[in-house]
Amino acid sequence: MNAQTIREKITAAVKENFKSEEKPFVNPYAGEKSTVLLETRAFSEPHLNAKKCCHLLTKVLYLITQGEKLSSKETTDLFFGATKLFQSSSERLRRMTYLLIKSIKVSETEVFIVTSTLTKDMSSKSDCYRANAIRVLSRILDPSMAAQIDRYLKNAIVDKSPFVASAAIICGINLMRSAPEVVRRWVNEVTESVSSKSPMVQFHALGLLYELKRNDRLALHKVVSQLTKSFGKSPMAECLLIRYATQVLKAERDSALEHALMDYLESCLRHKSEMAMFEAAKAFCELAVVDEQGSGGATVFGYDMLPALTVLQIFLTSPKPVVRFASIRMLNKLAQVRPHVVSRCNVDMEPLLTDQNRNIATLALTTLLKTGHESNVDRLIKQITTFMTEISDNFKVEVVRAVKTLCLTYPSKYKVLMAFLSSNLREEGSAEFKKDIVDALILLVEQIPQAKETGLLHLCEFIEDCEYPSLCTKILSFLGNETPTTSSPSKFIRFIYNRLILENALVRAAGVDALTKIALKCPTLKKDILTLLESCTTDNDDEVRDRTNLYCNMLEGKMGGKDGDLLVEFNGVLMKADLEFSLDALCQTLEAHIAAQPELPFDVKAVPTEEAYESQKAAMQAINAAKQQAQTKAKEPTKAPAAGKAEAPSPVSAPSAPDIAAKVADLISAEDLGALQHSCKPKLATESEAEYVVQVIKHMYINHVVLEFVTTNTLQDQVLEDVDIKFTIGDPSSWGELGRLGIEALPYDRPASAYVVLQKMHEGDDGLRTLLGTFQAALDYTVKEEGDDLGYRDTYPMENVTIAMGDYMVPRHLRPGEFKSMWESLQQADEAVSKFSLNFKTLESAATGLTTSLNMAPCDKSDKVDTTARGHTLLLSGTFIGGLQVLCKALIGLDQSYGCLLKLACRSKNPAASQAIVHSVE
Amino acid sequence: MGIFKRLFGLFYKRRTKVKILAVGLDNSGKTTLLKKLRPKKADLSTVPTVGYEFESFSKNGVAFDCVDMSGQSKYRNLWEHYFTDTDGVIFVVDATDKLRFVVVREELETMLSHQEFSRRKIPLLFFANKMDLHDAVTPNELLATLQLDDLAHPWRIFASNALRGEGLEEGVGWLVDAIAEHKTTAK
Amino acid sequence: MHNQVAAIVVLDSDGGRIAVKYFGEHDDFKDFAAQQKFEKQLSEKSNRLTGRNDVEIMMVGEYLALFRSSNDVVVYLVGEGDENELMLLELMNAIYQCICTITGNQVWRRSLLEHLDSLFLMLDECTDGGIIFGTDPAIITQRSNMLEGEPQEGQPFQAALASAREHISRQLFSQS
Repeated sequence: MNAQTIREKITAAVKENFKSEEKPFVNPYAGEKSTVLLETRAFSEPHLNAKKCCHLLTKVLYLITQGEKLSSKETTDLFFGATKLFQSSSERLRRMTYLLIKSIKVSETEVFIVTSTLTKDMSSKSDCYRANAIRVLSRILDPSMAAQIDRYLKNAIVDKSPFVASAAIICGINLMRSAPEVVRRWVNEVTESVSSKSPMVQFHALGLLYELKRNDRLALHKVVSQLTKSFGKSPMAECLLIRYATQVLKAERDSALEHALMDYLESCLRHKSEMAMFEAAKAFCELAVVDEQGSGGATVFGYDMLPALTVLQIFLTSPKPVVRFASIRMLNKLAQVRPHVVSRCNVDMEPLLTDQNRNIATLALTTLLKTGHESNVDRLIKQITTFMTEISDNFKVEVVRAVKTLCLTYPSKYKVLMAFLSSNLREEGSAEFKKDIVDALILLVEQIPQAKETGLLHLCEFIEDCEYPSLCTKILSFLGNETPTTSSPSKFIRFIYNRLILENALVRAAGVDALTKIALKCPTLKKDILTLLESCTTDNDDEVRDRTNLYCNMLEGKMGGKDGDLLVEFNGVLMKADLEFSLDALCQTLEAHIAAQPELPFDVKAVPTEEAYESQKAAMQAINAAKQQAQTKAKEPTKAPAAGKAEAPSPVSAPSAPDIAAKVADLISAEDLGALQHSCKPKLATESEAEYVVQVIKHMYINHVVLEFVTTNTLQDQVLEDVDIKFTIGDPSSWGELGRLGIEALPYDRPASAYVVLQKMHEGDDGLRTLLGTFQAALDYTVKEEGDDLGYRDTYPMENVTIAMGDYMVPRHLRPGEFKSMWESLQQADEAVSKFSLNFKTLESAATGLTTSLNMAPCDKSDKVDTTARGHTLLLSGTFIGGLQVLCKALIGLDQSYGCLLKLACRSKNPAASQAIVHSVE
Repeated sequence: MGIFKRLFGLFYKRRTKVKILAVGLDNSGKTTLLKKLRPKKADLSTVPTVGYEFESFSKNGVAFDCVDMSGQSKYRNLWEHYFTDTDGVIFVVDATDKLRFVVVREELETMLSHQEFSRRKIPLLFFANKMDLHDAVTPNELLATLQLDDLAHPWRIFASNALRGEGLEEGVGWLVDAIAEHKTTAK
Repeated sequence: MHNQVAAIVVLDSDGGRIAVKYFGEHDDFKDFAAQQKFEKQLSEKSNRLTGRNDVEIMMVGEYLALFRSSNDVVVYLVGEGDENELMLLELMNAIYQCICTITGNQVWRRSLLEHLDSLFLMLDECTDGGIIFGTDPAIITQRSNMLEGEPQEGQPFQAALASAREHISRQLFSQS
């Protein structure tokens, strides 16, 4: 035999081999929907072939798995077909039929057809039939059915077969949603099952017992603390009990109970099962988040964290990835609140950086970044660099955040940390990610003086090749502010100038701004910068060219005389980070000014600030939306009056600023009225379900207040005519009534407004014009019932209308963390402080009360009061009338002998206003 | 030897199974009646059927697979799902429940208007049940009230007392005969 | 009682479905499209982890996902995000053990499809509506075969299995 033939033979053999392997595998259960459904007719055959039917049922289940949708008719047919399978005595077929009924969504009106069949199976001798029948029933029972088979289920719970018992208990868990009153009757049986021999029955019974008791605080405590003393629980039941104990500990501060449960948790740390040990360690960590008193310290409710930490530490070295993951994930969470405690595990966390499971490695990394010590920062950063390309953007953001915090903790490490951040700026990444890094760098430059030049240079490098114009402009503006105070500003100028020649108009304009700012602050560089700006005086973009020319003129000092004053002012504006007024509002006010009285000088001070303008706009939008809603509601005359009355009246209210001026034009000219400062939120002056519902909106002006009474007639068979507001001013030396506007006719469910214009009679002692007052008001009208032409005059009283300090304020929401910097930017010297004792019973009600009465916005989630604490700090922010930004810091404390004590500090640029606001609390 | 036995000798050698549907208003006695037909079953206390139950028994060498439908009004619309493969129908009427004879007639009409009944001449066996009670109407009266004479299907009405099993044998005997007949004509 | 399990997903290595079970009312799994999207994430993320012959773990969105890959099959157990990982591990091990029994230790796509009915029944026995229902492979196998009586606590798994097998084969023989 020669080599040739051998080769041929081998090839043939190999081919043969392949053939047998390539013989395509046909999935025995795959099929087309219509074919499979047609085949299920076999369910109706007089002689059921159990094997065939099982095969068909599997085919149907596979169809569903593959995402095939059955129409409701198909489902119905399939379901009724399947009900015929209960005739068969084949166990396998019965089991598959149970599964099918659980897997298809049969309509509620049809599924009950199997109830009797299932109840029959429930009384079968076979545990499997009984358990399975209960499991199917538990999906389809309605409360009335549940009550009927209550006795069966109750017995099943204590059945000696764990299969049956578990099935019945889970049925109870499902029924808790629809028929809790039925399940409550099983409490004895369920309690008995908690001490069943079967681990699963214990687990399920404990779950149900908790559901049964959870709304009864004392009973729950009793059950939980009793169970913690019993023994012989399965690991899973133990885990559940640990969870419940933790929940009780979180909700309750009762020292005896606390002591008992903490003892229990601690003992579970030495449980023989890893699962329960971990659950207990997890409980300690979760409680560490809650227990602020131990924060930073190594205790939870007075118990040492160390044993829990040791458990986690041991798990870190487990050969099982899941165990390592569980442990590092828990430590990562704990590191957010107690980095020092977690840092004990650093030695065992570091090896995880090279873990095969990348998820574990990244968790280890972010944990170490939080707990890291100055000495290993360099090594960590080296490790992360290898990671960054592999991890998701979400995680990258977390890493950036951690690096930022690390840098703030160890400022001396800024070089390596900033280098890391900047290297990531050069890598691929989303705009979001880049923005985070830029923000981090900016923050570091601001916070760490020695890092300033390095950071600025990193930023400069980045803008040399940055695809996001918005980031570029942000950095340019930052450079303009910061470079003048560096040792050699000139070294940054080149980077900025490059933008002028390379980038789009938006960036060029920002570049021009930045250069000008530098020139203004560094006179030595002025000449050079003017030369650089030269190129932009002929820029083809209008904005860039105009800016450049203006700046050049300004820098060259060409503007003098009256313009010179303007220059000084303009200079001030340019150098300021924020404008004192809203540009949109400025535009709007200017237009109005030119249209109305162009001969008078324009007062910039009257322009509202950005925030004031925004909140005004938002208020107007809300008001208009509500109006529209009210109108659409009025268009539904068929609505029964009862139904209409049951609803709380929607916050109907006023039209926009010019509209109000127009409405009351007969009473006061728009000129005398001035610009609308803001409108207060509508306030009910009657009960919301009264015959006539009145909401009062206060429109605040510098010298006036316009009261708008939005009135709704909720009686279908009545019309009110000549509606007037009877108005009594208590203190005529402060307030004068300029006039009133009534409503001609007020038909059912069509809200209309009446107005009263008030004038402030003096400036107030502090010159703020923030006068307070209380006024009596009532509706005065002629009622005409259906068919009655004459009608009669009547009055309807409403609550007093008050003007309080809060009405001069608009809440102003700040971004998280913004409060602190703004508070610090305001002079402490101008702070107004006062102490009060208030009539509140809890911290929470005090905080809410204060927030409402001052009408300011809580900042940094300080409206969330820890009910267990003795004191609370509330941070508030608002815009005072005239666009004055106001911040308040309120320390509230509860004292047994003095009650609720408050120390209120208020800062703003106007000390008189701060004083007035503080004193308004009295 | 009754006629049906002979016929079964001819046609039912190989196929000795028939499928029967038992219908009727709630509390007419379907479940009790079927239980009584099972030779050994003794317990006749019955709870209302929810949905349906299967009852299998054999009589005179014929195996019956019987679907016992719930008669409660909310489940009556579910009967139709079992019409397709049924060989015969047992319609049980509570002969004392005169008030609801109208409802019985309505349910009967609804059933007969189903396409399966217009397609096949499915035999209908009526039981005027609860004959033992003194206020029960006679089968003849019931026949008239329900206007059974108009039926296009083979039908027969028997008086019955399901609790004691009276009248059942005769009725079922007729039904088997009728089914056999129907099969032959169909073939 | 909160659910422990959000989903059990058995996919082939290309991400194709073999069997799935979703529990609870999560928006992430509300319809077939959403589920497919989630499974794609599962498949992509698990492919990046090289670990074999052991249960691996990852976070997918809010969920914990334990998985075990074998040949051309990956079995995922998706738990609620705050669940005890070790508890889920116990269930995962049971599921995998059962799959080995079903396929006679040939955990391939092909043999799973050939025993699809047993796979479906097994998955139905280890959870009920998202609550863990069984973590003992012997009991799960026995229950899915509708066999009476339960193996004693602590009885070695293999022994229980042997008795189950014997029982089944006896039944089969007696039928034929």
